[in-house]
Formats: sequence, C-alpha cells, structure tokens
Amino acid sequence: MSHLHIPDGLIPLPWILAGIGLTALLICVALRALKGRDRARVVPRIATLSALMLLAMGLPIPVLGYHLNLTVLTGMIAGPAEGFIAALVVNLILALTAHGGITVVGLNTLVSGLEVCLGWLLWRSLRRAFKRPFAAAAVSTVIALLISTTVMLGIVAGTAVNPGFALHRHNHAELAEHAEPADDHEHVELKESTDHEHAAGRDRGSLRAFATIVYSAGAVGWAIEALVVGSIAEFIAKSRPDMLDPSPARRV
Amino acid sequence: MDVQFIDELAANGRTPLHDALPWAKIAASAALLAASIAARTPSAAGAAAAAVILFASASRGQLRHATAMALYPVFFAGLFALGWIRSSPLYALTVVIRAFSTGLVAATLITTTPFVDIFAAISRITPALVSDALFMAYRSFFVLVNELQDLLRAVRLRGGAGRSLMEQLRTYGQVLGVVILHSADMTERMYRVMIVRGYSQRIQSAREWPPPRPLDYLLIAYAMTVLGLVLALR
Repeated sequence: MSHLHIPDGLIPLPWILAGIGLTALLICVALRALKGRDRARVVPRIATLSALMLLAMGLPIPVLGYHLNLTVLTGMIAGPAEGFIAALVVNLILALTAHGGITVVGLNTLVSGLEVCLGWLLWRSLRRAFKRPFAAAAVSTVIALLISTTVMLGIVAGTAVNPGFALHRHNHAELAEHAEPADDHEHVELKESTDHEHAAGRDRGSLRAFATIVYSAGAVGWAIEALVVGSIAEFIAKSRPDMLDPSPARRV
Repeated sequence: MDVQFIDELAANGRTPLHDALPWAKIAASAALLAASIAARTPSAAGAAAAAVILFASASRGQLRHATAMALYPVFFAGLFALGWIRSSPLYALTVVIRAFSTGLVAATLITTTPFVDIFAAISRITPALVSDALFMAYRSFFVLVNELQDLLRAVRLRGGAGRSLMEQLRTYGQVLGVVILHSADMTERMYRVMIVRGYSQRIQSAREWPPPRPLDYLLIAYAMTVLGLVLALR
C-alpha cells in the first residue's frame, strides 16, 4: 500500500467524469506519442510491464496490508507514454478484482500514471546525481510516491467527499424546509453562518486526521517500495543497463 | 489478490451465475454498482448491500471468496472513513457499506465471468492498443507468475529470503529483477510471434453469444428494480 486505491462510492459524479475525461485525454496524448512506433513491439512491452505490476502486487510482503506497485519502475523502464497506458491496464484489471473502484478507474489511473511520469522524470534527473542506481531509484520512488499521495489527498479534499461538505449542503436543505418564512429570517441566517463555520472547522479537522493516517501509513509503504525498486534498479543496471538508460532519445 | 485463483473460479465454476450470459451479468452488475453508489444513508446502503449479497449468493459456494475480495476495498474505505468517524459517523458508515457492496459486485462478476469475456466488452470502448495490451497483459501475467513462483521456491529452498525485513525486501527486489530481465526476452518473443501471425493493429476478441434465456432477463430485471428502488428512496 504505497499508494491508496480510491474505492467506489466516495467521489461525486462530476469528479468521476472529470477523472475519466482527463485520463481519456492523456491516453490520446500517449497514443499520439506512440504513433510512429511499431505497434507489434509496443503492445507486448506495455502488456509485460502491466503484468509485472500485477505480479508485484501479489508478492507476500511481511508487513500487514502492504503491497508493491512498481509504477515508478515502470516509468523508469518504459517512459511516460507506454507507462501511462500500462497504468490504465493495471487499474482496469485491479478494479475488476475489487482493488480500487470501477467508477474511479480514471482517478486511480491519474494517480498511478502520475507516479509513472514522475518516476521517469526523476530517474532521468537523478541517475547521474547519485553514484549508485539503488540510491537514484529509491529517492525517485519516495519523491514520486510522496507527490502522488499528496495529489490523492488533494483529490479527496477537492472533491468535497469530506462529510462536512455533505452535511453543510444537507443543513442548507433542512434549513430551507424548516425555517419560518419572514420574521425568523435573521435567526436563520445567523444559524446558517454558525453552521457554516462549524462545518468548515470539522472539515479541516477530518481532512487533517485523514492526511495524518495516510502520510504515516504511506511513509512505511514508500520505504518498502523504495527499497525494492532500488534493489531491482541495481540488479538491472548490472545485468542489462540498456533497459534503464535514462537518455531522452531512447523513449517518449 | 490472486488472479490465478479468480481465473479458476470464473472458468471452472458451475453455478447459475456462471450460466448467465456475460453481457447480462455486466449490465446487472452496472445497475447494482449504480444502486450501491446512489445510496445516501446507512439504511439505504445496507438495503443495497443486502440486494447485492442476494445477487452474489447465486454464485453459491463462491460467495465466501467474493466476500473476502470485497473486504479489501472495505479496508481502504475504512481508512477514508477514519478521518470522518468523529465528525460524521453515519457518513463514515455509509462509505464503508458502499465500498463493500461495490467490491462484492465487482468480485462476483469477476469470479463468475472469464476475464476474456469482460475484456471483450471493455475492448468495445477502449482504443485498440489499450485493449490488445489488456489481453496480452493477462496472458503475460500467467507466464510470469509461474516463473516468479519457481524463483520464490528456489529462494525458500536455499534458506529463505532473509531474517530481517530489509534483507527480505532486497531479496524480493533481486527476484523481481530476474523476472523483469526474463520478461524483456518474453517481450521480444511475443513481438516475433505477432509479426509471424500477421498482427494487424487489433487482436480480434468478438465472440458469438447464444440467445438470452429467462435467467439473463431475470438478472437484469432484478438489478434494475434495486436501482429503481434506491433512486426512489433518494
């Protein structure tokens, strides 16, 4: 669990549609970037990387509830275009197996696609800054996962899934139904204003509590993922250094 | 998540849900998913969950496997809900129930319908490259999982992955490194096979379905009724 799979039933419809729309757009961009390539070569690469991500998730990590993702490594190996499509493929399969919601495949793909893109970008930038590939890969992993977790939190905060917002809307509806028509108007406004401040305070509190849980649980996941990705990068760099060649000309 | 086991359940199961046509199960699942998400209160979410359990119970003995799978999103929803448990416990409860229902819908669908049939439906709405990658990823998974299992067995026979968590994770990293190197060779072989077979920008996945039977209509009618009731309660 180095990143969270957002389940169904949390995110409001407009955000679900926005997630699907943005993912579709980015998939179009990725397809366009891959247009000149031999499809018979690209498809197996994406498929194999997707399978590897799924495989890594099944590895028995001896810490409760955690699993590997290899999204950052996918970015390092495949680059952003192939990597983003692989992230979509993995999220589609995961959603079907109840890992992450079906309706939020778009948003989950954006979060894991971001990890892929950051992995590629950071690996390219940090590879020469560190002597050992292990360190460059591990640092890239931690930074990418930290950012993607923050984005996920941003989605949760931005989508107003916080119940304070829902309650706030609910309060307005109830007030509209139960308020006395004219003479009690000031009283209602005052009550609305108090409710508003109270709800906003609760929202911040809930979000802070949620962020604390996510960051503290996530930090363990990032460390695990960083250690494994670092070891893989070190191993590949010794055996097949061309696979992790960070030169920009090699991939999109 | 054990994709192999899920595939076995879907391919070899003999229950009324396995007998239903894939498109009918997909349509019914979509309606039940919508009903679960549309439920706004704990009681409505509970009613939707009960309807989903009834639907899933048509898969007989497989219900317990699907339920176990559905507990995974409950864990994640629980994390989300923890943040709200003090400010809005009812909302937190609704979120957790919804996650269970939607997880059970997905788990029931995937344990009673072969992946290939579901991918065929998905391929109608995704670009060819994505759907081809989806089919091949699934196939590649089964090739690579055998290799990973062999490597892990070899590690265990040589004394295990290590005593400390650090050592174990490093060993896992190296094992995965070996699998990745082999997967690169596999990619090359797949490329040659695709060229030899005359890959023409799309893997054909369409299949002829038999005509729908009463069971298929019953599934859809049931799911639509549940969705209608949940929407009416809103």
